[in-house]
Amino acid sequence: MPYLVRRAGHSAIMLLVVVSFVFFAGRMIGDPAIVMLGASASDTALEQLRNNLGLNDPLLMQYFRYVGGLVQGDLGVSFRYGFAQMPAERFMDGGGTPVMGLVLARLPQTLYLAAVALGGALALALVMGCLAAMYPRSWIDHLVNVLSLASVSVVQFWLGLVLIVLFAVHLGWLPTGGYGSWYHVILPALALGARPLGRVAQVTRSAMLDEMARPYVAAARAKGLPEHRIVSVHALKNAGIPVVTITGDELVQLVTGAILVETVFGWPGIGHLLVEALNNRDLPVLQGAILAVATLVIVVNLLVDITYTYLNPKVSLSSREN
Amino acid sequence: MKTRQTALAITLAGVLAGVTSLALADTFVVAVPQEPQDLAAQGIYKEINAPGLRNVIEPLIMMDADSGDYVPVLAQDWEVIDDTSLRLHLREGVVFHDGTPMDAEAVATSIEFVWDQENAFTIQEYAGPGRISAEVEDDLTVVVHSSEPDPMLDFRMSLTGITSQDQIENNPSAHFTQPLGTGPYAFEDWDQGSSWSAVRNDDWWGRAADDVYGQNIPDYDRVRFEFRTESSSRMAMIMAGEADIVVSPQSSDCERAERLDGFSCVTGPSSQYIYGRLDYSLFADERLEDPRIRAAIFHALSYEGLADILGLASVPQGQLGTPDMTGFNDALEQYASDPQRSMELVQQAQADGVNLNGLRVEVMGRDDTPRIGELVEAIGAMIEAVGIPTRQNVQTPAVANPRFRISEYKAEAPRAMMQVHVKENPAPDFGLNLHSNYACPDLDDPSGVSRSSVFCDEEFDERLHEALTLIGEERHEAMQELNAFLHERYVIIPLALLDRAYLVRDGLDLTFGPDGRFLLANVTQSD
Amino acid sequence: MNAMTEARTRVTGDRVDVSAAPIMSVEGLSVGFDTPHGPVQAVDNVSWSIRKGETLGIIGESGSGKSVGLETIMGLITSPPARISGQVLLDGQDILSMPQRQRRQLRGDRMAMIFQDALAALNPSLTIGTQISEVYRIRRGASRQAALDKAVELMDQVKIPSARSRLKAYPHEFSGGMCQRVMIAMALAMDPEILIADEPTTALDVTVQRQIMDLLQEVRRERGMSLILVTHDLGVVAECADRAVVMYSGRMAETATMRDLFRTPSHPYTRALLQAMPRVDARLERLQAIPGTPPTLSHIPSGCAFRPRCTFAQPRCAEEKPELRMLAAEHSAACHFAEAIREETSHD
Repeated sequence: MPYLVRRAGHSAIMLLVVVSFVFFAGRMIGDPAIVMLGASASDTALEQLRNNLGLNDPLLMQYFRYVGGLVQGDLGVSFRYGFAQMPAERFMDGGGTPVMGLVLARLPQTLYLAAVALGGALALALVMGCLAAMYPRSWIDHLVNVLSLASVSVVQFWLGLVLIVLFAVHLGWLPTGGYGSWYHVILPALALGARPLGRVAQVTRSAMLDEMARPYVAAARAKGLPEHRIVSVHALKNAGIPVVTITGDELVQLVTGAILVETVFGWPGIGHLLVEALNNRDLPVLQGAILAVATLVIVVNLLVDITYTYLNPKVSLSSREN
Repeated sequence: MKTRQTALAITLAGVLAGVTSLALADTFVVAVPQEPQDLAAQGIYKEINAPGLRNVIEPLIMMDADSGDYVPVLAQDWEVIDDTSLRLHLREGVVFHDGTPMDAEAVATSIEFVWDQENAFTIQEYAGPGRISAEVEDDLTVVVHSSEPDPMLDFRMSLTGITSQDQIENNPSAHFTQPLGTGPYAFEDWDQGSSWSAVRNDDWWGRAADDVYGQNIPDYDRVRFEFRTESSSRMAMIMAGEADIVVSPQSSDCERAERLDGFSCVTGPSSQYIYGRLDYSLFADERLEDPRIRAAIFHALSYEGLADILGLASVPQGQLGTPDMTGFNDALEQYASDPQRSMELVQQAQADGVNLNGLRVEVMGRDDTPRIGELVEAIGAMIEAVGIPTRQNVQTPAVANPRFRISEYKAEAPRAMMQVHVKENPAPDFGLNLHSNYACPDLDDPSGVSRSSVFCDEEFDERLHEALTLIGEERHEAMQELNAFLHERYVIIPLALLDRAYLVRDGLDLTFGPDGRFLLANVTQSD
Repeated sequence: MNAMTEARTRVTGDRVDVSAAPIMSVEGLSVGFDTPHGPVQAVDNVSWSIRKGETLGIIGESGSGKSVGLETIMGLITSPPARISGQVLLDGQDILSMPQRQRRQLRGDRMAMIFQDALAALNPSLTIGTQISEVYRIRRGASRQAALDKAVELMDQVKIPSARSRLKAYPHEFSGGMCQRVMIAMALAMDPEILIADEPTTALDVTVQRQIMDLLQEVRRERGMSLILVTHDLGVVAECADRAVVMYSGRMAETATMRDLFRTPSHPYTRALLQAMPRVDARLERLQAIPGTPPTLSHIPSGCAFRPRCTFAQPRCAEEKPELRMLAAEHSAACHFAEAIREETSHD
């Protein structure tokens, strides 16, 4: 486990760098008070707001306060959701909507969408890739190639709109967006899953072609195993490492893709929160959302590493230290 | 194999069941472009803060769309006592959605809470020169005071949302997320990130009153506001029959609505306008004070062309407002689009020794303005075409906003900037417009409303000061004259008037609220 | 030469019923491929048969078509992409014309195959236990536990020590010899009648080679299985085969009982192979390697393919492809001068 501990340490440092960058960059682009109250607000109003938001303290003090809060799981208070602009002593609970609450409220929806998108894409991509590798140069192979190329090159935003027009507007099968029942997730998951679907299918296909030419496949055939088991267990498990690598990459892309897809479908996830925070110049929420996304990415990378060791018994966590 | 078929059948059945439940009976669905940051009472001063909140929270008075007069809402009657106080007589028997009475004490609490400078609510952008306080005269009578003379106290009262006193005092946090107003709909639920909804208030005072606002008594069981940032997503909602009304469609959506069945685009003038504020008498490049150079820039622009770029917009009539406004001057016309004349003016100025060397007019916009990139580029090109060099710049609010403030003019002096910006007339009266856009900025002015002006003219300031104290026809005429005065001096370029548009499902009629508010009371069945 | 024959008798120890009908016979098997360099004939008109309990050696250098032929028999090479003709009769039925599904049923059950590089032939990411037991579990419908028990039993049979504790081991944790034992256990799982061993010991060191060969002979004997032993090493065949087929460039050069093959090799290639064999009694003598290199399949010389390397070659050899001719009972060779060579060697 020392490897994992060290990795966690690196991740924490990475997060601190991200946080610091967002914090200072956010302050550098302008005075949040002017952004909030507009150009014509009076100096007294601005001064009052800065006081209430704690923006009059020295920047470094604000920064240490923020980082200190982070350590205790406190992401600060939204500038715009709730009533942070009011004097804190007016409220028993300190005033303002905690960013942590906002982020935690949105995170499950993003995870849900990403899980459905990736799960669906992965299942379909593996089947597509395997079929293509089992019948190379057949019409199935060509179909898989065309489909995966198309889904990799398509722009998610555009795909989302096309899906809405086709399935919600013309066919009326599914809602145009929103969140609620399980059918709400289908279209956004399709839009979000298209890219990983294509990428994973392509990688699966080529990795499977490699694996199917290996001696252990001939040996497995020779002992009389059914072909489906040879493909789905023997070859696929060995093709797993490139597939997991690309899936990890795609997961990171998925998080960025979620920002667009959530916006198109009005999906109440972290991406949507991030866009709103950006539009509202709500620095604490923006920081919190970016932090959440960065944490997701780091956790995903760690999971990918752990999956490697499962797929390739020769690599153990301790041996990867070198 | 059997189980697989069963599973498939169940899945299909589920899909079908899902589809049928999509259209929830008797829920009126409005697709709005943004999630509100909160649902606090102060937010009703501007529709964009929380579209639809006016159906839950009502003000004391509101402006009538046609007459431009204030009409009763929670106050049945009111009188101006003097230029610092306004007495309002409240409607009897009105209760908030929590059952507590809407009386003078509750109203005074709301007014002071909303306008409290320490609370620093964004409504402060429409604050008057003085601090607002409210005094209970009797159970149903409230007197509103301003610490400085404020002829627009009634306007400020039309912006003030009145909510439960009990909530403000005992559960202030809930005030921001679970509004308790008096409106025809009572707040039900806010599904963060998705929508908020309200249910019909069967005890609404408007059901029994004979002076109720709006076109009818709204009768939908429930109204839900769905947040969709993407205009195409909002468009899809009405195309799929999921929404009854879509707020702020794009002009292309309105064009498509013409060709599509099931809904139409309803447009009308809004209170928003786009202006080009060209640096003038404050820390400006002196060449911009030359009347010929200013006129050359004003006449260089094709206003029809700019309206086309914007889509839902029209050419203004030489002033920053609409004909319904007090002070609108019918005799004025938009600056002629005449590049030939502009070129001649530039040449004349040069012949008179005005040296344009080093002058570069910065056409600058803020990136949250619609179509700002195209707009800034087109304006820049038109000005260049008559021989005045420009550069174009689109900035974020964080960078742009400080540059609109007087302290920054000084820092950048001498400056030659044309700020292309959207502004809104909060009331159908030129008073605030003239004051905030043209009055010479006063660093000691606590309200700060004139701080974005670039114009300093003693005569104008005197006449404006007088006009602002007037009422009725006198006020109207005084402001008409001021508009003509400004028009001749080429102070600010009225670039375009923005239209307001809604996509409305067939079978419904929408009457525009007086001040851009979406009110269910203004939705009627058309057949 | 006698030493070798004796060695063979010592190892096999049992006798094959030579009058019994063959369990499998290959008749006129040809396998060709289309390659970017043109069509190649990897196996050309090969015929042989094997009886129950018999060990058949198939000898040849790499590229002689010995593996391709056997993989075709196993159904690992199929048409298309290969061009296959001839017959492989199993119990009188031509398995080449069977549908794929039916042929798959034959694998494991009727015939199994082990490979040269056992480590490569084992799946690196599945446990030994899984790999040995899976076919038993799937084909026999056995429970997971029963299949694992079966795996332990098989591992015991192939003498893998502390079998049960190694069920969860991965191939990379095993030595080459142990991997080959695992391969054998895997192949035996379905109790096949014919085991094809494709160069089973080539990749191993000498002492381990011996152990594996002994093991193969042992399981063959215990199960009354037929063994097809493919090798380029005549020594291996000499020790345990009953009969042998010598392949050269996709064709059969000679086939005979081991006794005949060693006493009266009638093809110049066989003779050369025998001379190249390290001898127990002449350890220090330099090995007499066969001059030249075997032809690539896409450039097979005209006439007799061995001609360029043959010390007996005559002009006739370039024009006329020698057919396989019977020289004696169970002894045939494909050389124009087979009789003469046979005469000569028998008088050595």
